[in-house]
Order: sequence, then C-alpha cells, then structure tokens
Amino acid sequence: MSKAFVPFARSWLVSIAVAFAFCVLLGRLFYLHVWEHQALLEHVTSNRKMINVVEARRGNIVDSGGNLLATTRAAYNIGVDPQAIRAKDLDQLPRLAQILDQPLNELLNKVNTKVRKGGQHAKEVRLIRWAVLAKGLDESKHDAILALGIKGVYANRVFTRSYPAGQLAAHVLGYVNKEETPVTGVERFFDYYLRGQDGWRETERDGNRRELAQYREREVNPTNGLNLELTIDQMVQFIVEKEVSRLAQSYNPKGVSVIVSAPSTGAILAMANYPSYDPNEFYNTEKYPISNQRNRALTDVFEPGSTFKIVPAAAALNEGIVQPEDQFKTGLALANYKGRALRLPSDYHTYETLSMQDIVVKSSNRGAAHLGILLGEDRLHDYAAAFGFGEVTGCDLGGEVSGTLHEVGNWDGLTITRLPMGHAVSATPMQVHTAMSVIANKGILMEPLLTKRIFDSSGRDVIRYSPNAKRRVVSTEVAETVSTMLAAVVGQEGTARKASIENYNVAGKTGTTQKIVKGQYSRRHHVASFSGFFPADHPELVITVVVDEPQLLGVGYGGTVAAPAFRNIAQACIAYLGIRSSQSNASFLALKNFPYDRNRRLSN
Amino acid sequence: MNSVSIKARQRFLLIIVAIIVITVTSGFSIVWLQQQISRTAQNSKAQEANLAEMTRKLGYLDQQIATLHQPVMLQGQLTGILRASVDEQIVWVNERSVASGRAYAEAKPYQVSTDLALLGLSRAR
Repeated sequence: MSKAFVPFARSWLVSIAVAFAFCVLLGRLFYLHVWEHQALLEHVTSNRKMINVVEARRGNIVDSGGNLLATTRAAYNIGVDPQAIRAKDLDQLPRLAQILDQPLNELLNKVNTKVRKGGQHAKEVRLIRWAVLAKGLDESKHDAILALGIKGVYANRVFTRSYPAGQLAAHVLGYVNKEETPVTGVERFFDYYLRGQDGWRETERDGNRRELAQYREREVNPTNGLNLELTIDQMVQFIVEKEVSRLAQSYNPKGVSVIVSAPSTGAILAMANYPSYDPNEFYNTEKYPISNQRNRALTDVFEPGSTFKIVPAAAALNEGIVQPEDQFKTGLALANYKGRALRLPSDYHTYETLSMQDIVVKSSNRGAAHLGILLGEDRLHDYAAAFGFGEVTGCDLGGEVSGTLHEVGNWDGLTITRLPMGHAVSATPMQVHTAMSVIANKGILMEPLLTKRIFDSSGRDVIRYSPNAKRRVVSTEVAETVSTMLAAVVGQEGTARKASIENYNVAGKTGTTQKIVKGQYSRRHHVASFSGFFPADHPELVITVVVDEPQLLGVGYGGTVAAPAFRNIAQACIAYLGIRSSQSNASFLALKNFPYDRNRRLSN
Repeated sequence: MNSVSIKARQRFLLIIVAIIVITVTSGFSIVWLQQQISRTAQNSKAQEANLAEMTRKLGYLDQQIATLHQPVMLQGQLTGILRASVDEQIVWVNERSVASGRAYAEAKPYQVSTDLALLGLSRAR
C-alpha cells in the first residue's frame, strides 16, 4: 500500500477552510438557537398562536306571557369574488338574483367587473376580490344561496339584534346599534344583564391561517347574556298601540302617550307613544326621525290641568278640613288669602255654589282654588310632592325627567289659586298616571314596575323584582271617597261621560290644558288628557291617555279626545283580561237565566 | 471461540435490528397517534360548528315563530274567517256568591252519587 502524495500546506489550507466553514455554521446555529433564541421563539410563537374570541349571545327580552320581544339572530352579508366565478356558475345567477331580490343586470354587472382603478388618473388597476351583493340576509336565504353551489359567492356572518314585534313597545325596548351599543330603553338600562361575557380559545394556526384544533391550549366558554321578562303584556300593548294609531289618524296630534298599569303592584302592562319607530330600522332616520325615539311618557312634560285636582281634593279630605258635602261659593271671582284679595281662575261653566264633590265632578277651577286656599301653601306643596309630582317615578327605563314643582319660596301671589287646577306645575304622563294610581291603590304610591324577573337559559330566576310601595299618601278612606267622586266624573253629570263603560264602574278625571306658546297661554294649542281606573271599587287597571295638540274644530277637550280612547282600551282589556264587573247581576257573561243544569260535580 | 463470537455477533445483530424495528414502529405510532388526535380535534371542531349552526337556526325559528304570533298577524289570519257566534253556541251560567267571593262554579271533590250506589240493588237477579 502506498500513500498518495498530498502537499502539506494545501491539505492544511483545505482543512482550515472546511473547519472555518463549519465554524461559521456552528456560530450561526449558536446565534439562532442560543443568542437570539428568545426573540425568535416569540416571533414564531406569535405567528403560530392565535386567540379566537367566542362571542356571547345577548339575552332575549320577553313579555309577561313569555312572547319574544327582542332576540339576537345571525345575519349574512353576501359577496362575490369575481375572479373565482366559473362559466358553469353563470347559469345559477338568475336564481341567485331571485333569492337576493335584485335585478339580474345589476348582479351580472357586479360579477363581471373584475378590476378597478385606484382613481381617475391612476395607472395601475387592482383585482376585485370581494364585491358586496346583499347585506343582512336571514338563515333561509343563506341556505338557499349555499345550495346553489356557486363558487366565489361567500357569506360573512354577523350577529344582529332583532325585534320580531316590529314597532310594538319600541320605546320600552329601545334598540342596539350596529356597534353593539345599546342606545335606549330596556336594552340600555339592563345591558349589564343582557350582554353576557365573551369567551376565548388559545390555539394555533397553519400557514393558511386555519385553526389547528389539536393544539388548543385553553378554552373559556362564553357566558351568554341573561334573559329579561317584562311586565308588559304583548296583547295589551297591541290594543293600546292600535288605539294610539286611531288617535293619530283622527286628530293628527303632535304626540300621544298612553300608559296602562295594574294599580296594586305598579306593574306596567303597556306603554305606547306616538310618533313611534321600528327598532329594526333605527338607522332609517328618513322614515323614523331621531325625535321619534323619545319616550314621551317619561321625557315630555305638560301642565296636568284638571287631572291635578285629585291632589287638593284628596289633601283637603285627608287633612279633615272639608267633607264631600261642604258647599263652596264658586260664583265669586275673588277670594281672600292672607289679607290679600286674589283673582280666582274662571270656569267653563260658572256655578254659584258647588259641593266639594261637585268641584271634582264639574271640574271647577274656582272650587279647586278654594281647596288650595284652605290647605295653604305648605300643605298643598307637600301633598303634591307626596303624590309624586316634582320627582322621578323610578321607572326602569332611564331618561325620565322629574317635571317641575316649584318650592313654596318661589311661588308668586297667584300660585296658591293656580296650582290646584294643575297650572304652575309640569309633569310627565307617567307622573300623572302614578298620581291617579294612588287613588286606585287605596292611597299608596307605588313605584312603576317594568321588569318581572331576570332568568337564565334554563328558565331559572336570577333576579326577581317585587312591587315597591314608596309611601302612603292619603288614607284608604280618603282614597275611596275620592274614587267615588271620580266615578261621578264619568257619570252623566261629569265631564267624562265618554269614558263610561256599560256594567262597569269607571272612575277618572279629564284634563284640558292650554299650552304655553311664546310665553303666553295659547287658545289654539291644548293638551287633552284622561286618567282613570276601573272597576272603581276594586281597581284592576289604571289607564292614562295624553294627547298633545289634537287637531280638531274647537278645543280638544280631554272628555272629547282622550276619554273615548280610554274607553276603547278598557273595553278591549276587559275582554282580553276577563275583568269582571262590580255588579254581580250584570257581568259581561252572566246575563240570562238558563234552564241547563250541570252535573253535581260542579255546583252552579 | 469462533462459535461464541458468531453467537455474540448474531445476538448483537438481533438487538440492533430490534432497536431499529422498535424505533421505526414507535415513530410511525407517534405519527399515527398525532393524526388521530388531529382527526378527533377536527371532528370536534366540526361538531362545534354544527352545534353553533343548530343553535343559530333554532334562534331563527324562535324569531320566526315570535313574528307569526304577533297580535297583528294573528288577527290578520282571523279576519274574514271567524263569524259572530250565534245564541245556541253560548252556554250561559249564573254567577253566585260562594265562600271565596263571586264565582260561576265551585270545584268540589268528586262524590259518588247515592243513586249510583243503589242502582245495583234495584236490578232483578
């Protein structure tokens, strides 16, 4: 064996070169795996790892019967990638146009427009990879489009709030805008419970950004929002809104507010306003101006007028300074108060004398002024405050205003005579309603109750709301006495004959107030109102109707405009709720003697 | 000494082969396990998507049902279909005072009529 001749220097040179190359390699390895290990690892991890947010579902809102008023649904935005459309897909386009309810030409235009220029003078063009075809489609249309199997037509799913009842109870429900921010109503006030909490997943993705589910590290399930049950009854709300529409059509008013509640609990069965809006189209400000979103029952104030007369009447009786049969000289235009002669307000009909009861029945402004003078400023103010005027009622909707009840120190010389007739005070329809509810509820002021309970997806109660009695305003006997007077208001001698219902004792008070326009009371602008309850001896419903500036020939009296609306709503509620008459021999069912005899298991 | 050496070599070879086989098998097993895990994960993901789709569709149905059950829709379905009731269809009952107030009927525990009890005695045997 012989060794090959290798020059010593060359072999060392080559060896050193190879060794140097390996050293460079090792050095690079050391740099990547040791020196820059942390930074590179973070870079790789950030590319690989991802956190997926799992959205929580917003809770539903239902009425007292469990009917869905607000829910969350998936909406699909359909688009097309014009580059991906195949020739054979073009045959499906007419069907697609039919599903989308779009002209075929428009659809073809979008599909065939494959490039767009950056600007008029731009030289480069860009490929269009996504052209919107339709937005907000529901599940059935989405499934129909998927079934067509058109390559290049995609859907992006978004979750949107839906109100199946349309405009029904719009002001109570409010809405959630496209940024998922609740704007008004119950949606806003109870957002904490409705919203829920999103979950997330820590996972990894591949090169195409698709999730590699086997590498999920942590998974936190979303907590869906809780559901809300309102005291609103869908059918009663429908009855009220139908009547509000009739009022709007008949009188073209500036606004209408109607509230229906159960006096013993304060539970609100219906609250409706005109003009209204559809929460599903809250963005359509051309069709539904922003001002329509105002809940006038809580935000608009007006001088309550004669409906306020229950305050001095109940106050005077409660203080024991008058009896219903006491006589007052209502024919006189002046009255003496604290050594000063005060000019009394005028009456529509002037009576020489009226009993205290007739002051309420005939709605005498002078009579009410006499009651105010007897009470004095402090007591009159205190009872007005006790009835809830000048403070928010506490309705769970937010945005409520307190109205105005001036402190005694700010009264002028005539306020003592004007306040008892419902002037020099401003109130919301809700305040007038809750004041009348005091009489219906045996003298106790209840807080309006709008929410019955909050419950989870299994139906279990999370929070249950109870009626809240705020305070006793007058005694039960006084409330019953005033109730009798208010029943006479709806009788033949009263101002609210049009509110009477056959076989039912109805009690209530009309109000017709002139509005202040340019600093003066206007003869052409009125607010007509009626607030009442029935059956008078065991009240089941309190209904308040307020119509702002009804347009009709002459004055829009409460007895002419609002009282018939009360009657219509009440009659429909009697049939729906099965409210029984006070008179056992004249109920709406038992009217005849019938020979049919049931078996002995049930005794008739 | 040669036989010992051959035996030792054979055992050595056997061990080497066994190591190689076990290593390769383990490697393939690990790959198979990872594939199974991946398949199960993808199935779970598909089931999650199915469940979410079913939930969405249930919610959509609930919404559709709620829309159809609106009073205005129900009334629209009845218009022109229901006619006014006639007298013969109405059963009139008299209201009377009972212990709990006014009522149309009072539920009582079922009691067998004495007529029924005596019925059998009157039959001729």
